[in-house]
Amino acid sequence: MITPAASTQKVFDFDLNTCTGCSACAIACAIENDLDFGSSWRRVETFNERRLAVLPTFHLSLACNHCEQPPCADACPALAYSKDPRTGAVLLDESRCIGCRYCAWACPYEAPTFHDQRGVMEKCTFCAPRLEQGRVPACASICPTGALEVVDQQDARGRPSAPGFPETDARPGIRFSELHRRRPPVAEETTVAAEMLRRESASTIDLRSEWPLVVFTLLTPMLVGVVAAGVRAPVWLFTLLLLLGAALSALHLGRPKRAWRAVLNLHRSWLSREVVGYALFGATALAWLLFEGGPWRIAALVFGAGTLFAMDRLYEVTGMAGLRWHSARALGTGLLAAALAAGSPLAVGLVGLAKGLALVARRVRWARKGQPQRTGSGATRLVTLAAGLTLAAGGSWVAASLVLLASEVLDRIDFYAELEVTTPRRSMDAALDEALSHPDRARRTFAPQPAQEGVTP
Amino acid sequence: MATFTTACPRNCYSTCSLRVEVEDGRLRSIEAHPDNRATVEGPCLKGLSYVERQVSPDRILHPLRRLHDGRFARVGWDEALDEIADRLERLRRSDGPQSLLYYSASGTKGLLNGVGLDFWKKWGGCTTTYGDLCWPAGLEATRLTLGENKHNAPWDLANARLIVMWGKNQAETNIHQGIFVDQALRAGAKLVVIDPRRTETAERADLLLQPRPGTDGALALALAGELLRRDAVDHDFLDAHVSGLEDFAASAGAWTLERAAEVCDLDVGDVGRLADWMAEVSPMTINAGFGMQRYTNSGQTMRAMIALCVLTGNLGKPGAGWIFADLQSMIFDEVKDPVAFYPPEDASGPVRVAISTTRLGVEMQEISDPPLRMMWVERGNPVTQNPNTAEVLRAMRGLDFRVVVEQFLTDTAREADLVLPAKTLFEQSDVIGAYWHPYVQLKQKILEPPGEVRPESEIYWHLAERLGIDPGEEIPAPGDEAVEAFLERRLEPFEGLDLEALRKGPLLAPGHQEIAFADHVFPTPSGKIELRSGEAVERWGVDAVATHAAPTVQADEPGHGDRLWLMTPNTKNRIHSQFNNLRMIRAYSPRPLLHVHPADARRRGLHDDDRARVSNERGHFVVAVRLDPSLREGCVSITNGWWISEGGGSNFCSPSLETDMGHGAAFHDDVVIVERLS
Repeated sequence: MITPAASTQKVFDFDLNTCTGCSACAIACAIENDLDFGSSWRRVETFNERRLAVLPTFHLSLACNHCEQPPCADACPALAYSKDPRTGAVLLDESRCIGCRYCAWACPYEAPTFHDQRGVMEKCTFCAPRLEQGRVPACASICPTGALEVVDQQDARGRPSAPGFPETDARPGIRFSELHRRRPPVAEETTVAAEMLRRESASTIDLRSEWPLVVFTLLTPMLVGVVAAGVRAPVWLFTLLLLLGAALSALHLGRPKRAWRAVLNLHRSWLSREVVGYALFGATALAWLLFEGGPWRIAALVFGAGTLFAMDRLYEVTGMAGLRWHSARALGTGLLAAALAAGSPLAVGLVGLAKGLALVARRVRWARKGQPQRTGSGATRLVTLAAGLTLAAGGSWVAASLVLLASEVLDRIDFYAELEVTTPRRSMDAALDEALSHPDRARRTFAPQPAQEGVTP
Repeated sequence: MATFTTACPRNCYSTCSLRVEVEDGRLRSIEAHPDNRATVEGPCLKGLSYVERQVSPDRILHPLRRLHDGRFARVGWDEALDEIADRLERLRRSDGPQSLLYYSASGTKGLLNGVGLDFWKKWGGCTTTYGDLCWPAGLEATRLTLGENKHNAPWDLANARLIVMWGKNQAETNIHQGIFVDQALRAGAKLVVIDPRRTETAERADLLLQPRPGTDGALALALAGELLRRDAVDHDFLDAHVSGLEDFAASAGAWTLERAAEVCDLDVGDVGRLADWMAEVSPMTINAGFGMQRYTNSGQTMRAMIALCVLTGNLGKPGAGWIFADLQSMIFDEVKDPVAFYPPEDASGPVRVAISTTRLGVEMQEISDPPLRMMWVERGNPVTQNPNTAEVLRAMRGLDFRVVVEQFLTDTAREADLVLPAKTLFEQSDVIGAYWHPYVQLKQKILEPPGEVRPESEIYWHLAERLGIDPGEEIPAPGDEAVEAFLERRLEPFEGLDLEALRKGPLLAPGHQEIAFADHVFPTPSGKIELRSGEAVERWGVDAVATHAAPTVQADEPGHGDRLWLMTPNTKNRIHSQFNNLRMIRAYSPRPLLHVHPADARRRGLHDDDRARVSNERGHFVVAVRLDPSLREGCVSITNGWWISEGGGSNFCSPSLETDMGHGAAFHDDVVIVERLS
């Protein structure tokens, strides 16, 4: 990816003090880009929307920030993203997009959105055609208060961060003015506040649409585990399951016919690596089943483990904490499958214990952070895990496998339900929570400070 | 792609100058016209949403007739016009022309709006309404005190060092003013916001006062009294330009800061701080909104507020003044508002100006000799917007025949027997003024009307033809040529104002003063600023000087009763009942919400998204609840203009009460019971 020189990179320059949250920018975007009425590539997020008197209320008008290190481009397995060297615009070539939505997980600003009818992602183009004509992007051009501007990077007056704006190392092309609060905050009941601050934002990752991924990410570790244990499944069955996994993950794409493009970004995308790993694992495993060569099995094991590793790593792009030691990691499921297939009570016991500990640790951390607990699913998971381990210890392998499979399915579903992509909305909600639970710190952050005199408007 | 100059004709402060791109008969983009210094950055979301409004599948493109089951069926223009003409002929013979009520409101600005009344005069007369729903109390208070409604140009606000936004949520209702507020603040000005709600505007305030609704007069009088006690007044200015000071001082003197703080339920320290700033900081601009002058005591309240500018000499100089309405661009009106909408002194003409628009529903039913049989509505949505909806509906349903000219099936259009399709701002040229900035603008025809849409002037012309009425010059013939000739005739008296010049961009109104009253000419009876007004006594029966009396109703003290103030402010997402039917706007305001303070909600067992029944002796509506700690306790708030069909209906509770002066609507003398619906 070519990174434009600072002199040509354009950035949004946004004034938190003059934005009224009117959303004209979002509508201007829709008009300029001929989007469906009611949709937009730009949105206005509000900090402290309930106007609790202890804190200021302000808005962030956000779309794609045309990052210097765009995480969407790194994540995209199909090399659909590029960065315009003249303006710094991060551009999406829809003809290359396979509709895997992975860029939406990677982008902390919710910039790429999936277009249902067209089956591809779409996003802010920085109004590239306007920039080429030397015109300002539509959103900045019509902002009624002049709060949103687009300027050359070196001319930007603001800072790269704002309260609640997701912090990443993507180097987003946006600058924020400092918030000038002009009067002291008023204390008020925070219990009332807590009641009102029930979250309404829906998760970006929706279980109903992601079920093929749940199946794929359970099936693959099981296949790898069986091969690892040296159990030779019937070739037809193994082939069928391999193809099922591939078909599920391809059908989940907006543009299944372009699925082959998923291997193109081996250089940076964990998704490409997973896809390539899966193909190589399947090929070598089949070769082992057909030709019985020890080296084939070793190759299949290496590619299989690599696939599971990539499968786990690719979720880290969401920015969600605690994924590394998650009880539903694919690698763990693979190990459990291997132990079961190998018929080793000790191995099953050890892996199962590790999974149980990981689950408990995760829930304890959640409880400390005050996140909502899914007590029912956690308890069911623990009970089935314990039951499965007991059955395995007693030598009832079929029953143990079925119970443990159910347990893994539960955990995987939980994993997807819990998976949260960093978004501006969540980041601002978290900042609000933080401010309310540490009022002293918040008071300093949002202390009244009159605007500097002599600053040109 | 062709680019045109035009202007947004909505009932809005900003009245933006626009540059519109058209491609293949379709709006391609809408941007700000750079020649209007007041709206130079860009139109608001509503202005942009014209791109959808123009082509909305919900637009009415053909005459519609209501069927027995309430649905509407398309009819041809000939059939519609023949039926109207036939009914008018019979009506003229049976009950006389005055049995027709011609009702028009503020849906769009323009000189061609006058064609309607000219038609009805030619037909033999009609009944019309007097007064206005929006701003009369403030207009009349200003006229009585200063002689004329005008203020400094919008951009001059940057020169103010103390800005008092009194009941005005500029950040939503006058977004473009934010630029000048910001310029003033950056130069060191202080911003004070007075509003029972902590609004978006209040975010930038140095001081926010959230008084008990309807008590602003007490606050203003106490501040005036304090300024007088401290002798922090401009004696030279008072001596030279003001009459009635002594009487006013006696009224204000009865109010101390402590007494006002108690009546308004404010912190006396905060009130004192405002008094300090008024005494010390200059120039000061007080900018009053419209919502706070919709109480029965508002005219007197506004007079007291203006007096604060008068006492401190903050008039006729940069950065100073009283911003309420600037009618300097209304150059075509022989008589300006508010006098223009008062009932005539001689009531003998063919037009019977006899129904208070505030009491529309009640008086439509009460009027006799002749009683009303038919109603013609254009540019208005009285079912949604006028007070006391149940009476408005009853009155309309009691008529023999109703014609509504509309773009969409609004609550009022749904009551019609015939709905005639209305033009949009892009489909007929017209010339408009504004009430915040001093520009005269051409709202240019850019697109051909779609379907069978006909501008109102054409509807009248065709009706005139059927009824044998000579259209004369007053009713231009169909086609652009006659409309342009009509407009040129109106522009003719004004040097430099013609269509050709206006096609290029907005023009400052001839003779406009950038700094209003800089010449110290006050066209009152005495030629001076009148803190004491004889006309106030004669015309309105109020005291000669500003006084404070409580509104006709009172909410209960929190915890000591059920009744809450119902406030119905405006939102950035609509102009009254326009725009929210568009998907572009719905994305930001999907449904009506009743904002309730958490403490009031707790007493009623209300939570977010609960359905609440809001009621009083006039009626009720049901709406979803949103807890809102930024409201003053004891108040609930819902933005006005939601159609009943969208789940709105706040005017079912509002009273048919006029303001103390100006024949305005005291929407906010409104207390309600709010209950949880299980």
